[in-house]
Amino acid sequence: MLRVLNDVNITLEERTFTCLVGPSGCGKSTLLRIIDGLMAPDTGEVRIGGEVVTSPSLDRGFVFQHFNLLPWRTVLGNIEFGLENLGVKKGERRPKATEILKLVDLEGFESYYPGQLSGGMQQRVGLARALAVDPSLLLMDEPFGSVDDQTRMLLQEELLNIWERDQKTVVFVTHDIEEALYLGDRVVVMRARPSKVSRVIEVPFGRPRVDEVRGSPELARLKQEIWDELKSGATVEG
Amino acid sequence: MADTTHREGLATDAAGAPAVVDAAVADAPPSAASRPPPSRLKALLEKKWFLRLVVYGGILLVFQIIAMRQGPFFLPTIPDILAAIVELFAEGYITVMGPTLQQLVVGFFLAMAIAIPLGVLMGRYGFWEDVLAPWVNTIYVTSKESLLPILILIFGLGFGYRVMVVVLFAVFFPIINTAAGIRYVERELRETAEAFATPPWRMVTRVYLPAAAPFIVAGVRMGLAMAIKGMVIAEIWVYIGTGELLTAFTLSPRRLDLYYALATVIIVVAVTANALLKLAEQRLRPYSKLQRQEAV
Repeated sequence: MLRVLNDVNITLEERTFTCLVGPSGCGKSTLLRIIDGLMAPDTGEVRIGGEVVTSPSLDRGFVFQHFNLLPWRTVLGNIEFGLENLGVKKGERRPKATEILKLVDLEGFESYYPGQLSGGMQQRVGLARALAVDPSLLLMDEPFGSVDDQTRMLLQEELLNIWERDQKTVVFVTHDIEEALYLGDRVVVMRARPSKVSRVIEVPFGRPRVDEVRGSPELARLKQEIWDELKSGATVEG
Repeated sequence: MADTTHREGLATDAAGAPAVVDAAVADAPPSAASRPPPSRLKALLEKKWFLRLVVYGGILLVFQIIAMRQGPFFLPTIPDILAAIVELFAEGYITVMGPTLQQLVVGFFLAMAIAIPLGVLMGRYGFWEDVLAPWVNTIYVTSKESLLPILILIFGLGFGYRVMVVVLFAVFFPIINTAAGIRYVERELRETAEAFATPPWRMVTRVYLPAAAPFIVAGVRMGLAMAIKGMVIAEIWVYIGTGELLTAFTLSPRRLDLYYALATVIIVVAVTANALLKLAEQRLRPYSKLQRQEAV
């Protein structure tokens, strides 16, 4: 049996933005799936507000690295997917989905199919789909990992804008240290083999986050610190 | 200073360039003359309607020539067949198609109602795959005609038998295709649907079926072709309905013109049914249009 995660013990404060950062293979995506209930841990448990997580719930929203939109549904149809499972009636679904659509800046693309959109736009739909069910916990699995640099920075800013308006509890998985520091209140640094939480860093930048944070010496210093932490446990693999 | 030299260098280049172009132009006329001008035939061949005219027209022309050489005892001419189609209607022969079409429609829809759920079960659950696959695969590769006597023993020669033949012929392609389509639904889509707490029934109707739709549609279309095959064979086998007429026209009194006329009507029915199916797909699945565009 492959033990991916060992001795992971983290507590998330309500309405905080936590980033999980670590090399590939450290189990950060697995941990996210366990939090959601998509995967069951062999031992241990996840509790949310005292309740043990046993299966996925619409009280949690999930954003996937490769968007995972339903290709045969339009943008609006994709956003409505979770709402349908919640049993929201058609008459209420449309306005709700349209509202979220505006939030992620996709007005005018209601009836487009995912295949007609760029990666960045598809991920906005992915985010909108997760936000539409108004979850108390938003889980994001390297959501900006498969879009180009400029789009990623724009999406990061938009995510912060949305988050600062309606602070949900967010767990954001990334391998990009800078992204983790720019977005998060806390950065949980994970190491591989054995996979474990090696450090938790409280991010000192205030809210709302301003763009200047990206170029600040403080960010550079923290980035170096995390990199040193990761490097000490890193091996080069093919 | 260096800047100026550089610019001068550029100027020389620029001045030199036209000379080269001139030389090419001077060379051009002979080669252009040796190349044939773009022909009108080539332009026409790129037109779809022209290609169809050539291919279908060619086939009809060859048919007509052979028919005229062989004489009406072996092959009726196209005007004879057209006249016979009129006769089919005028003499009331065509009414025999009524029950035949009825068994086609009932049999086809029954086959799909059996095939798609079975295919979903087989594609989704290993248990049902294990239980059903041996039966499906065995009958699928067997000559269905060889099983007709069993159907006659069970259902007699009435409507039930004729419908069951259509079902027997039509049911296998959509079962196998649906199962394959469901089996290959991407793991990412399944995980996504799970993450959004999709209940089991909606998982089938909102994720598996639409994801597998291109496979299912292909299976249904093959099923339709088989249903039409079954429709005719069921009747030829026991000498009733349209099948009886088809056979009778080739015996005495030998009326090949009527035979070809009836065969033409059956082809028209098949092509129309296929077109209706395509229309239904576009209605049910607006996304299919985009998929086709992307495939081209």
